[in-house]
Amino acid sequence: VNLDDIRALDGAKLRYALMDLAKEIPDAIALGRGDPDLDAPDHVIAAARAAAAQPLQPLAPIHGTPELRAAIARRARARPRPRRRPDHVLVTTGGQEGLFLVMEALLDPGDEILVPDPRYTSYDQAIEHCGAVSVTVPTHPEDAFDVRAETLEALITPRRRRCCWSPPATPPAGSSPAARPRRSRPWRASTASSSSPTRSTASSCGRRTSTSRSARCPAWPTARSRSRASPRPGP
Amino acid sequence: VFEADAGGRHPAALGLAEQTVTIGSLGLEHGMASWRLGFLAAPAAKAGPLRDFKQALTICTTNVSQWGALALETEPS
Repeated sequence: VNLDDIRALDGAKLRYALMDLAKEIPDAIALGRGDPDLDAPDHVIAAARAAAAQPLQPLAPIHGTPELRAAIARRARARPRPRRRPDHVLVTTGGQEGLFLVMEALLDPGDEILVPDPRYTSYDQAIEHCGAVSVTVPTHPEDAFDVRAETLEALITPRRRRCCWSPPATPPAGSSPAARPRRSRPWRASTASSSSPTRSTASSCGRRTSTSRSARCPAWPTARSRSRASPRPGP
Repeated sequence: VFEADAGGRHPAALGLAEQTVTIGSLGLEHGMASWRLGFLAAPAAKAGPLRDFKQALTICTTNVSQWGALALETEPS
């Protein structure tokens, strides 16, 4: 193994090189990809077996089975999160597909989006795929890697109206202490947040400066309709 | 992935619900990473266009995985 070659790599190429290297170590433990050493619960396996045994296996609805969408909506209602109905929910093939779908819908080439550091690596891949640019929001161990509202506010510009926010922070797994004083003004005054394929929330604030995404995605609110829907002033 | 209390600071709880899309994974903490299950929760106006993107990308999420996830959601233990 030529370590100089590995040092020259970045992003996914570095990950693949390290995974190949780890294959040569018999007792290596993978800590990088989210492969917990757990078995799926028996009743979950039984439910999947029963579904697989059905004689007719039609494709699932595009947005997911009604039963699962309803269950996910019920889960959302149990927390201080947006009240979502089942028709607000889209079942995705892993959180990562959801991340790419949202980035594809929200970002135009040249857009900038605020992302915490450290962060889940797929954020960058999805953002680059859209021709957009990640702008790092530094976080700190003493905050459990939570985003400081004042730091976020200072980084918001007319071009940066979107933000990924991932509670708990991924990968460091810190979470926001409930007792921390709530800093509502920066969030209200400016923009947004998103969650990771662990759990993320992607938000956008204020007016969009480009309509090209709307052209590709006709039902997405236009700049005008979006500003009507949100009386709160943009940055 | 890992459920967390955001201390009431989820952007949707701060009046940004119409501008917020929540992305999540299902079952990772129950050894179900390989089942490839996740979700989006979006305002109604945005859910339809996101569905259209998904249709173009993967058509739908694996049926069997969804029934397993439903069992987990409805009977977590």
